[in-house]
Amino acid sequence: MDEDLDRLLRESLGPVPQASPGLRRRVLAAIDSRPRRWPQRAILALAACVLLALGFWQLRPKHPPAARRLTWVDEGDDEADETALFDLAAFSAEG
Amino acid sequence: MSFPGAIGRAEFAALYDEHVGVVRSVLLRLCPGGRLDDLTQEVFLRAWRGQSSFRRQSSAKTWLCRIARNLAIDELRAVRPEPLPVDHDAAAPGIDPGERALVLELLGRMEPDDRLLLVLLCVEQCSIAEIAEVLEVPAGTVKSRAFTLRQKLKQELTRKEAVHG
Repeated sequence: MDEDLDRLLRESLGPVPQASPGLRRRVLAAIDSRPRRWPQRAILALAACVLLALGFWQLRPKHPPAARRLTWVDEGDDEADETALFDLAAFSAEG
Repeated sequence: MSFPGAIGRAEFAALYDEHVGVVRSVLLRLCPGGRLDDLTQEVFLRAWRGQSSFRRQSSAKTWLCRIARNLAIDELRAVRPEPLPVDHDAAAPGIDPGERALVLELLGRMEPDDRLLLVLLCVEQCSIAEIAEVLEVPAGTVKSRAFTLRQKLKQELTRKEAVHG
C-alpha cells in the first residue's frame, strides 16, 4: 500500500532537471575565489588562550621577590665592607 | 589558508558530483519556480565556506541536504511560494493527469518540512535516520510524522477521487 503511494508520488513529481556541466564549472570557479571559514571552535580556543596570557601578564609580580632583594642588599653590603677594609689597610700602611 | 581536516578542492568536486542530484531535488520540491541553478550553486558555496559545520559522523549527503533545506526555507520567506509545477512532458505514461495534479496540489499545501520528509522518504529513498539528520528531529518523530502524512495523503486522495468520480 505504501509502495503504491510512494510510486504515485515519484511519478507525479517527475524527474529533476540534471545539472549542466556549466553549473559544475561555475561552482568550482566560485569556490576557488572564496576562502573557507576557520572553525568557530578553533577561533574561540585561540581567543581564550590570548585572554589567559593577558590575564597572567596583568597578574605578574610588579617587584622582585623580597628574598632576592635582601640577598642583593647583603651582597652590596659585603662589597662595601670589603672596600672599607681595603681603605683601612691602605690608611694603616700609609700611617 | 585551510584548517586541519578541511575538504580539499578535488574531494569537494567529488562531493558535488555525487550529491548534486539530491540537492537539486530538495531545492526543486521546496522552491518550485525558484532559480534552481543559482540555489544549487549557493548550497555548494555555503558548504565550502562552512566546512567546520560538517560533523564527520554524519554523511555528506545529509549535511548538504540540510544546507539545501535551510536555504530553500530562507528563499520561501523572501519570495511568495509557487505551486509545484505540472510538467506534462515529465509525466509517467501510466499515471492519470488528474490524479497527478491532485497529488501535486496536496503536496503544495503541505508545510515545507512535511513535503521534504515525503520527498526524501518516497522519492529519494533516504533512511529514517538520514531524514532525522536533515530535519534535525529525532528518528521517532520522523517515523510518526511519515505515518501521519501518508495516512492523510491517502485519505485526501480517496476523498477527492470519490468526489470527482
